Parts: sequence; structure tokens; C-alpha cells
Amino acid sequence: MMQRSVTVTEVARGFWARDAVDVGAPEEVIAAAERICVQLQAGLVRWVGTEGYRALLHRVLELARPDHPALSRVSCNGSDEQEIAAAVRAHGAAEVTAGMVALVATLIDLLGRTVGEEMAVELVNQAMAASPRRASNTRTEGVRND
Amino acid sequence: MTKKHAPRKAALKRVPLELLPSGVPGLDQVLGGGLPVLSFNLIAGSPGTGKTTLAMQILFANATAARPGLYFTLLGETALKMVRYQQQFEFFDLSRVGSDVHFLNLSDDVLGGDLDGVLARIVEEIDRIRPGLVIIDSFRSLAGSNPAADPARRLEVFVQRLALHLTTWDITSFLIGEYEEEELRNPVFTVADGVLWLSQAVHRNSVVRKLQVVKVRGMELMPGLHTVRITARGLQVFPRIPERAGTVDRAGGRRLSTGVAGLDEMMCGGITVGDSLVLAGPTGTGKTTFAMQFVAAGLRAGEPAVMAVFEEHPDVYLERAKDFGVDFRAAVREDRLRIIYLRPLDLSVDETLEEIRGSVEQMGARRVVIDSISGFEMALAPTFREDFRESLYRLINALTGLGVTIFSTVEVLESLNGLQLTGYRISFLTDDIISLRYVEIEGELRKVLTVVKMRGSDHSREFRAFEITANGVLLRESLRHYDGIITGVPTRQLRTRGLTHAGLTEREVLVLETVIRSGGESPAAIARQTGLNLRLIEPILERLVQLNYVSRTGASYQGIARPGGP
Repeated sequence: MMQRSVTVTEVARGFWARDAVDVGAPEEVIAAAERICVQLQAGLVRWVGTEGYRALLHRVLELARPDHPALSRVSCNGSDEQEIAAAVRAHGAAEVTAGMVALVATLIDLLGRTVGEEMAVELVNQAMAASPRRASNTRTEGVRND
Repeated sequence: MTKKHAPRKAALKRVPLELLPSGVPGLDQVLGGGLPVLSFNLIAGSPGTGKTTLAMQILFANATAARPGLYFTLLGETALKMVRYQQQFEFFDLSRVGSDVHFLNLSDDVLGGDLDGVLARIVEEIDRIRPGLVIIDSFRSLAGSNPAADPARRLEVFVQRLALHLTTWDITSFLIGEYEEEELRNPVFTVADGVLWLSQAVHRNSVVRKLQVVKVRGMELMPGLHTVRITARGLQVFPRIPERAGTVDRAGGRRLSTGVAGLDEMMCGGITVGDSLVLAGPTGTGKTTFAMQFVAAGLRAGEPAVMAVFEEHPDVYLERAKDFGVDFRAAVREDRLRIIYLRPLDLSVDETLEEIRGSVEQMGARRVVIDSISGFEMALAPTFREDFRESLYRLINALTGLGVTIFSTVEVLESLNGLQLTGYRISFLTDDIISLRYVEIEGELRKVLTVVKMRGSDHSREFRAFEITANGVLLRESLRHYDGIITGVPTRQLRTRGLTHAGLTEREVLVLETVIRSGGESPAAIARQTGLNLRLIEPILERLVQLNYVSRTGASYQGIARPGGP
């Protein structure tokens, strides 16, 4: 398991909370997770290129998955709605929420090793702020509501 | 028929170029004021010369939220990596990233090999962000992105089109490219309004970075290669010291005291204000002591001073200065004295000048000491040693142009068969020269000095013995009665004594002079001092006694005072 500062996890939670309207509702979790994946990809590809972002995300998931099996089939490389919905069905909204927070925290952590934690938070913040929000009323069938 | 002339048009007003500050200390001076707004520039050079840092420094110096800077990275270093390394510099303000300064990685577009696509992407981002400043790093990577096409031609066309777009967008732009010097004739360079060329000279273990502004349209540039140093503050350019314009204000021929009793008299009042004086001498003759007394005299007269020292640590100077009755430590604390200690072995003349000039201007210094020119040369990077004399000429010119009086020391090798005036053959660039040397007189190693040259002023031609005492330099007797001083082994003059002591042989005169000067010596001591055999000395002494030139008391002989005698 990766050692990271409490701050990074708190920041990641903050990003999640900012995007998820009703954190408990499975539809909101899927929509929020989907938005975050799209926004992160659009924002960070500008910095590292498509290939660079893919490599970064691969490493992030590799580090986050052992503690968050809900991320096992999530790729988060842009739109990943189907996989996220499947994860929510299989593991529950709370697990996916925790997994997504861990994903963002790990991403900040890895970026932070390159450009420093503050800058990494700023990059993620800019990515979240710059990209257009996708419709939040995404409907997903058969979602388990924990 | 009278020829009709069209009415003369009123003279059209020229539009002055609006200039951007580069944000790089020293660069605006080289550029003739700054970078022209809306210009399309290339920053070229080999890897590691500081191209990216230079561009980044310009970016942060000029980007604002209203007119942001946009930095495109093509292939190579990603924007993320760039931020990683560039944030180490003080000018890089992380809080401005995303507001004043934007980064964008275009590697995906470049790898696709479609230069039209790359251009379209650049256009799209510029439309979105509306920057005032755009940097593209490194545009040369575009050339090889499509192996099927002629790379040079493709790049040329791309740069041409990009320049057209950027100019119409009201943007000042910089393209960064890795080029070697032999590629300077590349057509890409003709498109640019400005070309900044960075290079590094490697000589054994020494690396020196240099910048040349090859062209900037509409600007009066400072030609030549200028030294560049990269520190935590980013790049700093040390403009190549220009030739001095105009004449030096010599303050109406006012003189400055050397601080050495008797030496000012030899120099008809001291050193002329605005002069460059070189004190040359072999090791151990006290050059540094002379230099410190010059500074001490200035401090006593309320004249601030700068010492550029290259050999001993400043503490040594501060400690030794106590002997001259001036508290150098207090003077340093009160900023009446600055001791600049420069010992890196890859120094440039221009960096040294910048240090000295900065201090002179800040504290209004009137006196500058360089101790020593020999140490200064050693501290220079080998590449600068090759044209040391020319550089020194520019340095001295620039400093005397500020109206300061320079006192430099230089070490010369002791010559046994003649007087080496300054070594280094630098006498042409000094106004005044004082030469120190060792001589052997009466079996003792003595130090003597002479004023060799004073531009536009009379001066003493005599040789004076001197000593370095606990309190500084002490001038002793004139050696006007000696010949061959410059050989290092002078002899007493005999030719005029024959007239004074008619009837005496040259040897007898020599012995008589020695007896008189010594005030009472044995024949053996006189033999030692004259270099004559004792068996010869005794009959001479007897004859001098008979002629009443000398008297004997026991085994000691004394001179007898005679009117008109020696």
C-alpha cells in the first residue's frame, strides 16, 4: 500500500465531494466518477500527452487497486461509464467512491513526485475546472444502491 | 512655362518599437533595450545551453492574466517535466501556472506527422487562450516527424506559415530549436525577426556558456559573444564590455595619495584621478601592502573603495589592514569598502566587471584595487585566457570610464639581466607604472622601486630602496649613487667621485665611500662590502689615512669630514 499524506487524501475527497451532488446515490456516484475520469484525461493530456497520460494512469491503478478491488475493471482513461457502472453494481457505490478518491489521491501523489504536491493539486484542480461537465443525470440500469 | 511642384508632404512620424523586457539581467542591454513587441524570434543552440530556461524567463517576465503566455511543448520534454525542472528557478512562480502562464503538450499531434494538424492545434489554442506571448519548444522536432517528406523543406514551410499566423495575432513569439553553429545559414533563420544563439565553450574541465544576438530587426545590438551564467535566479547575461566612449573625466588633474610616504612626491603629487596604475614586481616585494595602503589612504580621505582580490582571502586583508591604522572591517560594515573575492576557475572578464561596476556604482567608489592581475588571469576560464590582454583592456577602459582610479598589481618573474617592467606586456593599457624589484647591495637583498611611467605627468626617475615594515611600506634612500640597478647587482658610481677626490684611484674612492657610509668599520668588513680582497684593502686604507681622508681608531677606520668632500 502506498504511503501518502493525509492532506492528499483529504484533497482528493474534496474533489470528489465537489463533483458528487448526492454522494450516496449510485447514479450520482457513476456520473461523478465518469466526469472525473473525463476531466482528468482532458486536463492532464495537455501536460503529458495521450501516451504519457495512459502510462500515468496505468501506474495509478496498479498502486490503488490492491486496496480498492472496486477499481479492478475501471480504466478511467476518458469516458468509462460502463465499467464504472459495472463496478458500482458489483462492489457498491461506497466502495467505488472510496476507490475513486484513492485513484485521485494516488494520481496527485504520483504527479507530486514530479512537480511537487502543491503543483500536482493545482494541476488536478485545473483539470477538473477546465473541462466541460458532462450531464449529471446519466441514467444507469441495474445499479446497486448501498 | 513654369514647372509646378506637388505640395510637399509633411514628414511622416516614425512609430517607435515597443519593447518587452526580457527579464534576463544583462540581456536587454545586449538587445539595445529589450525585445520588440510582435517580433517572431528563434532561440537556437546546442543541448544544455539554456534555451528553455531563457524562454521561460522571458515568459514569466511578461505574461499577465490579461495577456497570458502560452508554452507549447512538441517532442522531447513534456510540459510536466518542464515544470518539474523549471520550478527550481526563482522566477518560476507556480501560482501563476494556469492563469498567467499556460502549458500545452502537443506531442500527440506531432507524432501523427501532420504539420497542418499541429498548426491547426496551435491556432485553436491561441484562439482559446488569447496569449500575448507564445513559445514553441522545440520546433525542430517537427522536421523529423514524417519520414516520408523532405524534413528541411517541411520545417521551413511550417515556420513560414506559423510566423504569418503569429504576427497577425498580435503575439510576440519564440521558437526554440536545437541547432549547431554551422547551421546558421539555415533558411529558417531568415524568417525570424530575431535570433538569439546560445552556445557553450568547453575547454578541458571548464564550460562557459555564451549568448550571441545574431539579429533582432530594428534594434541596435551589442555585438559579440556575451557570457551567460545560469544560477538559481535563472540566466544572467554579462554583456561584453564595450569600448569606452568619449574621454575620462580626470577631475582637472587632481591627484590621489598612494598612502606611501615619499611615493606621492616621486609621482609629483600622487596618482592622477581616473588613471590606471599597475604596480609590477616579483613575489614578496609587497605589492598587496602597497595596494592596501592606497585603499587606506582613500578611506582616510572619505573615498569609498572596491578591492577585487583573487589570491588571498578577504579576511587576510581585513586582518593586515590593522597595521595601517585603518579599520577595514568597520569600513566594510559601513559599506565604504567592498572586498570582492572571485576565485571560481571559470570566471569571465565580463562577470568580474559586472561585480566591480555594480559595487562602484552602488557605493560611489572612487578607488578600485585589482590584486592581482596574475590571480585574475588564473581565475578565468581557459577560453578567456586566450584573449586576456584584450579583455583586460576592455575592463580597465570600462572602469576608468566610470571615473574611478585603478590600482592593479601584477606579479612578474625576477629577471637577472634586466628590468621587467610589468610582464604580460600590458603596459600599453596603463597610465602609470611602478616597478618593484630585488637588488643586491652590499651583500644584502634589498627592495627598490621606480616610477617607470606616468601618462601626461612628470615623475621622479630615481630608484628608491624600500622596506615592508609592520606598519606598511617605508621608503628609504635614493640609489642615485649606484649604477646597474636594473641588473639586480648594482655597483657604486665611481666616475664622478674621481673629480671630488682628485688623485685617488677608483678602488680608493670605492673604499673611501664605504668607510664614510659605514661610519666605522674594520678592514675585513670593508673588504666584504666592497668585494675587494683584504690584502688590497689594507694598503688602500693606509694611503687614505696618509692623505687625511680617513682616520684610524684601533682596528676601525672612519671618514674625515672635508669641505666639499663626500
